[in-house]
Amino acid sequence: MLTDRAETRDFAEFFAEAEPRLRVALVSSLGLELGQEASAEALAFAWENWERVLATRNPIGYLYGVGRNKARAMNRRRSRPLFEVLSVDPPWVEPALPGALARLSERQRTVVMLLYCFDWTLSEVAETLGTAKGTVQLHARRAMSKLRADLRVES
Amino acid sequence: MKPHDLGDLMQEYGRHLETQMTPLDLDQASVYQAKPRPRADTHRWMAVVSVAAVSVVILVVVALYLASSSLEDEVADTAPTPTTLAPDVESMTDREIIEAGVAAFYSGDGERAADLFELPDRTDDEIRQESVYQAAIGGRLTLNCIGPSTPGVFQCTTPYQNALTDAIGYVDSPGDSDRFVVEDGVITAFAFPEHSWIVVGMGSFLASEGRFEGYEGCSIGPFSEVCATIQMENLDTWVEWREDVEPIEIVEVALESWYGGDCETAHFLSDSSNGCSTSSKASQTIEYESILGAQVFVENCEETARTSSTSDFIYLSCEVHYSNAMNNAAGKPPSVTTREFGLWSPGWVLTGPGQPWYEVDYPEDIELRESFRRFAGGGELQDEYAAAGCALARTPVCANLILDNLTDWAAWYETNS
Repeated sequence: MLTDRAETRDFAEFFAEAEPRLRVALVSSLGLELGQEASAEALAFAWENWERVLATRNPIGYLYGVGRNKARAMNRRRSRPLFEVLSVDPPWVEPALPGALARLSERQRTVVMLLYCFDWTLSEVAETLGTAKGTVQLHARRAMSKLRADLRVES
Repeated sequence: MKPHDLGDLMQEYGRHLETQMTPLDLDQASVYQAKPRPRADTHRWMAVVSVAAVSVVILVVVALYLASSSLEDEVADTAPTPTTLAPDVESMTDREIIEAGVAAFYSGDGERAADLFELPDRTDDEIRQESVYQAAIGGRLTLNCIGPSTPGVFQCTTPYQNALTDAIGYVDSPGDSDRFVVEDGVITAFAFPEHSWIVVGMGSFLASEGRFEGYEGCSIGPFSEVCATIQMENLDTWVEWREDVEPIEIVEVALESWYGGDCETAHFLSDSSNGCSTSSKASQTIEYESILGAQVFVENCEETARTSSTSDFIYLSCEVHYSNAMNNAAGKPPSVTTREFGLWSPGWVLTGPGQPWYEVDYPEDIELRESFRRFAGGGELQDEYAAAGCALARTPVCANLILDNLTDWAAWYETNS
């Protein structure tokens, strides 16, 4: 078993890599507020269960699932939509876009936001969501098609 | 909106969101700095959570954009016009009484329907209530009856359509076939057709979107007005979701809700027959998992078989990663089991047709549960463990027994595993 010091060092390294990915993925799935809280909860879980997390083949994917799980529990207490649209966005943001994203399914929204809002690669999205690249492409195609129709843009 | 490149719009939105996010700073996590990695109990890292919670920019939020049209608008498009029926049944033939009852029921004339139906499985209140539902959902029944073979007895097929079947292009043909009976001017045997796979599919959608609340009683008739309200409000998004949903997503939602303590959602998705009453098996098991802080993660699902009739039944083989406070205390990684789920498309998660998934090959860490059984059986806990039936049952009492003795068990496990 690792010493606590070694564990702490390893966890810090993992945290540096995982925190931004988890935060962005969960914000894409759940919205800004709930996504960030879910990310913090998932990382707290990782700290408490470090060996367990390390033992998984895909720790970030595992924690993404933990975050979603915890968010659902948190959200039940609040009775709000899982993905919320911010009421105040700056003028350079297309005002209809957040609502159009909210109308996508959670999986479609997550995929399309990670690919197009945050410039993730197909591999990064697939790994984090624990799914195949082909499935990511399928969700992305359908989501972009819906967004184009919803926002009435051609390209 | 003027034509614009969607990719550019998305990038702008992404840049904006990035400015609104607050990265978690590990150095600010006071518990992490001060203490070694804690074990067993949950939520010990609340300092980290609170750092995130405090640092999140406080934003005014609005609810999701709902369909702009109100329920009343939808109803106006789909519901039949309320009928005006002759109240005198004495002048009507038995066949006309059935037709009048059906017309009243599906047009929202619940009072008239309650007068004409006297059924062993529906009270008058339930008939009035469901009549409102049917009118709101645009329910339409076509009666094709043969008879009477004996006085008052008819054999009828009843193709049934409503706003949900219309939305997905489903045509119910030839419909259910049942025996209907009229006695002394009232209908005493009648089967109201339902499309369970559709209303359950709507429930799966709502659960996957985290909006299941309120739909608990909508898997089987008699339906209430609240079911119609939810179904009509979500009709368009449900139709889109059906086209894209991956079976693994339903399995994930079912298991996450089960192990995450959301009994209402888990019960609905798992076709649990005895509900979330405190004493039900589902309720007891879900609370057991919740007390133990169970975590599950589903991955690598592969479709192994599919049968098609009215709706698909899909078999998936998935890896389920399971862990709880016992894994944490023992420093043992999650157990991984590969098991098959049957998915009634896209709705209930089962093991096979009609069999809830949790009844067979239940995903848990069998080795640790067995270890606690041996630990309890050889010591002071023996009587308490046996009296609570923990060798077979997963109940809150058993979960608390485990938690109360977790440290002692973990020490025992270290030398006896």
